[in-house]
Order: sequence, then C-alpha cells, then structure tokens
Amino acid sequence: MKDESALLKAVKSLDQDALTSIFDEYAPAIFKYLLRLGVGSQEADQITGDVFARLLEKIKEGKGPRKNLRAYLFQTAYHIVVDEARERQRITMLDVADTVKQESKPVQSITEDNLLLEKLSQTMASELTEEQRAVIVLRFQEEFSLKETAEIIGKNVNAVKALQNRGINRLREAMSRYNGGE
Amino acid sequence: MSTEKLMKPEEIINLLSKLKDETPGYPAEMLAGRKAAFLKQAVNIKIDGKGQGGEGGQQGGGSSAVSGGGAASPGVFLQALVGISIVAAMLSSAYMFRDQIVNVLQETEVVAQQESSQSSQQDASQPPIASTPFAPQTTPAIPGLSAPVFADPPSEIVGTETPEELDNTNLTGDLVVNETQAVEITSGKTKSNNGLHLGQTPGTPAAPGQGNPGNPNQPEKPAKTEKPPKTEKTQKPKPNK
Repeated sequence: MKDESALLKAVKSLDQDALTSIFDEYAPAIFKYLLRLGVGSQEADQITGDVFARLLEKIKEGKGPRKNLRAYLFQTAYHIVVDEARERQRITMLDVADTVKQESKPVQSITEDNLLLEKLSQTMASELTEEQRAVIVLRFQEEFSLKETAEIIGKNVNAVKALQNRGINRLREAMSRYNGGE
Repeated sequence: MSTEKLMKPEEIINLLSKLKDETPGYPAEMLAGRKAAFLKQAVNIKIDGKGQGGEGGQQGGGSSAVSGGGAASPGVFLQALVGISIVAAMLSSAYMFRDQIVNVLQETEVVAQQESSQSSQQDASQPPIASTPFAPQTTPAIPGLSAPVFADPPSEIVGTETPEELDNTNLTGDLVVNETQAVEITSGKTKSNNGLHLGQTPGTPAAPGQGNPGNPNQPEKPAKTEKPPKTEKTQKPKPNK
C-alpha cells in the first residue's frame, strides 16, 4: 500500500484507483466500528455511505483530510452517529443491546469465553455512556492512540483518559456482578 | 460483592480485543452497492470539473492536490500582499513629495482664507441682492429716492451691520415674512395657526406687483408707495406701554 500522503494526494485528485483503494480498506472497518457503537447493520451501511459521500463533498470544496485519513473517516462516522442519535433519540439502551445481540456472531460452541464476550457486548451497550463507549471502542478495538481518539470525539486527551478509566471501571464492575451472579 | 471477584483492567481490555474479532463483517452485497455509488459520485464530481487536480491521475493531479487543503490561502495571501504594497507605495510617495504637498495645502489654505475674508467684506458692505439669481431690473422711480434701491442701499441700512436686519430689509417692496413674524409663528404667539412656517410666504393669491417680477402674465405693478423703513416695522410694541 502506498504511504498515507501519496494516497491522500491521489484521493484529492479523485483518482479512481485511490478511491477504490481507500473504500476497500476503510469501509468495512467503519461498518464494524458502527456496529460496535451499537448501530444496526442497515443504518451502519447507510452511515458508511454517508461518510464517503461527505469525503467527496469536502474534496470538492477544496477541504478534507490533510494527514490522517483513517482518523478523519472515523471522526466523520462518529459525528454522524452522534447527530442522528440526538435528532431521532431512538438509539435507546435496549435497542442497542438487542442490535448487538443480533449482530453478534452466532455462538458456535457455548464456551465460557463466548458467554463472557456476549455479556461484555451487552454491558457496553447498556452500562456505558455514549462517549465512554466510543472511547473504549476507539482505544481498545480500533486501536487508535489517545491523541487520535481525542481528535475523533472532539475532546482533549485528559478528557479521553477520564472517559476511558470510567468506562473500564464500569465494565469491570458489571462483569464482576455477572461473574458473581453465576 | 467481594473485591476478589472484581476483574482486572487488563482482563477487560483482553476481552475487548477478543470481542473485536467477533464483530461481523460488511455484507458483500451492501459493500458492493455502496462502493458503486461512491465511485459514481466521484466520477460525477470529476466531470463537473470541481474536483481538485483534474485529469492526469496520480502524476499530474497529485501535485496540484498537494495544496488542496489550503486552496484559499494563496489567494488571500496575494490580496494582502497587493494591499500592503499599495499602501507602502502611497506612503513612500507621500514622503518623497511631502514638500510639494505642504505647499499645496498652504496655498489652498491661503486662498480659502482670502475668499472668506472677501466674502465677509462683501456681506457687510452690500445688501444680499447680488446673491439673487435674477438680474436686477429697473424699477419705477420712487419719489423721494434718487437711485434704484438695488444699486445703492439706503443710507439707513448701510449703517446697520447686523445680519438680521439686513436680511429682513425689503428693498424691492415684495411681501416677505420678516423674522419677527416668523418667530411669532413658530413660538405660537399668533392667535391662529395658518399653517405658515418659518420662511414661507402666506398662501394668499398673488397681488398685483407680487411674485416673480419677470412674469409677463402678472398684472402690472402699481406705483410703489413709500413704506416705512423695515427697522421700524419689526419693532414690537412694548408690553409695559
């Protein structure tokens, strides 16, 4: 794969190969990220399309990403999710929990690990705030740095650290309750 | 709940990374549809000619897209540069020709002072006839006056230098609302408000001899009767008497 700056130049020149390349690379990742945030698959597909459409609009206006294309695309996706959640107020905790259940891979063998993972995804959807969930997903599943995560969610690094710690502690407590209830 | 059962943060992070692999992928049909739509939109933008870099792919288009993020900044910079250079040129030329500029300003000032002094002298020595747009006309000789009033002001007016009296002097005999009447009108001293305001003449039909003296349709001006001087007319009866 070409380096980031060369790819960005090609994308801004609307080169078909470069556009195909970034779509193949980042569209599935953004789709998964949206699912991890608790968005349904239909809506995740819609938002993924919107993310790339907005990228083209920004390029048309002479704007767009300058250095970190991946973080830019995830940031766009996060903003769309937040905007839609605020507008429609329809992503309730229960819906998210159901969605995560539906989207989860079918359990092939009922093992302790699988149960734990299912419980963890439910807990993330039900126990964490929207921002905590976004930070946990970006940091430990999408493997963004603290700085990148801060840019994506529009907060400073210290705020991201605080959100991360609170989110992890909540998950620990919830998972411990689950383990203790067994 | 005991603290022994509380999971460690590392365990949670480990579970999160495992959960990452559990997330289902993008369905192939959805992905293909989105990709087709995305590439079609890109082609449309490129056809419109609004995409940065234009034709030429990565070689030609890439170089022009380098500065794509700051496309507006060179234009703004050039505008600022042109503005600064214009101001600098003006200031330097003003500095170089400062002596000439000072001379011109001084000459202008002197001329203005001379004009103002001349006009003030004329105002004091002549009645305001010269300022009327109409040429002076010969009026029938009035018994008791040796010369037309517009040529030489009466001797009694010459002595008074207050502009109010000069302005109120009715040299041609026309009906004029003098200042005393105007003050009475504006101050509400009149018994009835006839709608007149300062500087307006009454709305009565023009009497013979009034109005535009050059109007041939107007009835002939009767022989002018001698009027008392204006200064006497404007005098108010004293309330003590």
